[in-house]
Amino acid sequence: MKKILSITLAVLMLSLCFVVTVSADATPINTDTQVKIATFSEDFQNMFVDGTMYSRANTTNIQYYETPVFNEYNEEITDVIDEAVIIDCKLSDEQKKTVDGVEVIYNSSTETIYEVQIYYKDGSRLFAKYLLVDLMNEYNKLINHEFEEYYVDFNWPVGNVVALNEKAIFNQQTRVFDLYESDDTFNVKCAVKGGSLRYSYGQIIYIDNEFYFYDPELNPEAEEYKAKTKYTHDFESDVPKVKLGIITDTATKEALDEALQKYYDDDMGYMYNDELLEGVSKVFLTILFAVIPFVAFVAFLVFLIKAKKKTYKKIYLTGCILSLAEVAVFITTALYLFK
Amino acid sequence: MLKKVLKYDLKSIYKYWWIGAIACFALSLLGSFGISFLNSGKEIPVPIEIFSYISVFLTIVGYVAFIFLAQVLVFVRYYKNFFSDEGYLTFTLPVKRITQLNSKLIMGTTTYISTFLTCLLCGGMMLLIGFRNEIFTKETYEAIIDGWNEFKELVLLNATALDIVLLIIILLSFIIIAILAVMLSNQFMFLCISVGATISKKAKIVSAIGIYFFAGSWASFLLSMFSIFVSAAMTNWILDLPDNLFDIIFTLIPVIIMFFISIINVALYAIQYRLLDNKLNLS
Repeated sequence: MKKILSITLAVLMLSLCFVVTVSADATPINTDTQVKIATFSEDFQNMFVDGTMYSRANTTNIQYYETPVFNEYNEEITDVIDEAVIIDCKLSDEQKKTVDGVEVIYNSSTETIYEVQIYYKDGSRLFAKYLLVDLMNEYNKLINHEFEEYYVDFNWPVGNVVALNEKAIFNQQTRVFDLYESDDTFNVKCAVKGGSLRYSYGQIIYIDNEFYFYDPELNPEAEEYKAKTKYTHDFESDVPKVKLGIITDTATKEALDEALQKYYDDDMGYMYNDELLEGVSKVFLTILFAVIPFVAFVAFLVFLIKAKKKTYKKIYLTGCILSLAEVAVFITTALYLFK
Repeated sequence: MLKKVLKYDLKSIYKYWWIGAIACFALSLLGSFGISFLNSGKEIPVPIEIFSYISVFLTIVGYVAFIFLAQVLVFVRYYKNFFSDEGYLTFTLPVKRITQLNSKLIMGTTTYISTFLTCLLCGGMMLLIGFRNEIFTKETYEAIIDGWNEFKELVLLNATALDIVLLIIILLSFIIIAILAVMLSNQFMFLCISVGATISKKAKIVSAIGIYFFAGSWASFLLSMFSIFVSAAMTNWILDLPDNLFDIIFTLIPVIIMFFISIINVALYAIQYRLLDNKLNLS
């Protein structure tokens, strides 16, 4: 009896330790952040107009990248990833107030710039992908979603249209071309309009320090925003300006999560991120690891009370202890696992 | 008393088990030569090539037969010792029924584990001899050293005390889960035999086999449902955990499984003992 009691106590103490440790480590997540804008126009663009399309201010070491890059036909370009050269960029005094440094990754074999990393003084980072094809005026943008959500505003000298849709967001982990197919409710689109090539996947609007993307085919009401734009194009220098904005708030984050969910639901099949299947799994697990052990506990307890022989009492008591420990550990785990 | 009963149980098993082990070892040697010939990269005569393929095939068949032999030995020992004419003698001995039952469980678990380890060692030996030219090279040695250094750096030097405790808990959980799973398999088989013998007086073995396959099919069905529904969702949930909780929750999952298998073991044990204690009717 003493042995069984000490084992019981040990199991309960162990379970309690786990509960305390897990509870102490739980911290709330704060999703509200401030809007920030970092302008990065002239010097950034000067990289593209130094004789050819880009300037090599500082060529550093060669690196290899395996992230896919896509052309205008939504085909993955495999030769882009052969070699890459990092170019250090000069920052203006204005930019130095908010930006710590910029890296431009340039592919020497195809002569395209396809990656830009901007390090901000507050520790956040913007990671944008650009693809230049045939010395053209087209950029395809992908934005890294590692720290915060971003918008990239992009203006072209020809056919520069800015349009706006509310709460437009970027799904930063998917490609632009995929996002074009997304439900316009979430406005997960990229606005690209090339000059002579005229590839159009949407449009960009800049209003009140915020950038939005719009597809004229899907959002005709955004025409009204054209008049409100504050963004101007420098027609004299004929240099497209790039403005980079960082914006996050809870509503946008939720909208982005919904867009991501819908994207994966559509593309990845019913098994991935499917709410129904997750719900069924939760029920199944709860029945298997909580309800059944609890019923077993009750059954063992009833038999323990009714048992007369010492052997039976030992067996049923062991069953009670194990069932109770199982339910305790499962509930502790499920609180954090099932969100 | 348990030691004495266990001694006779194990003796009755290993009397025939060692023959299977020797056969397994011999077939592994044969298979290793077969693999050596096939892996040599040289032109070998057709009869030797056929012989090599047959030897590898026979080795695999030998492993399966050895595992099957171990199961049959445990099955027969349990049935004969409790439910045949020998049962009369068994239950007149001055040994408690629970001791008898515990002895059978330990015997079954030990037999399965030793069978598994034998197959593993023989299989390992076969692969080491068969692929010796690829395995015993400088590159392999360097890869092992690199792997060890990486492990040392990742685990031993950078791990905190909590990391090591969690790792030990995970390892112990997996070992205990493996032992409990083997015990569960034994208990399941024993229970099927006991229920078969209780409900059917004449066709005990047939009833036992029927119940075993019926219950086994349901268990497989539940396991496949578990895999279909739960595995994809679990992966998402675990990956979505914040970093500070990931290690602890990941450690608790095998502990949950360990407790769950233990509960099933205790429940089967209780039913089994009750059947032996009250329902056994050798007349």
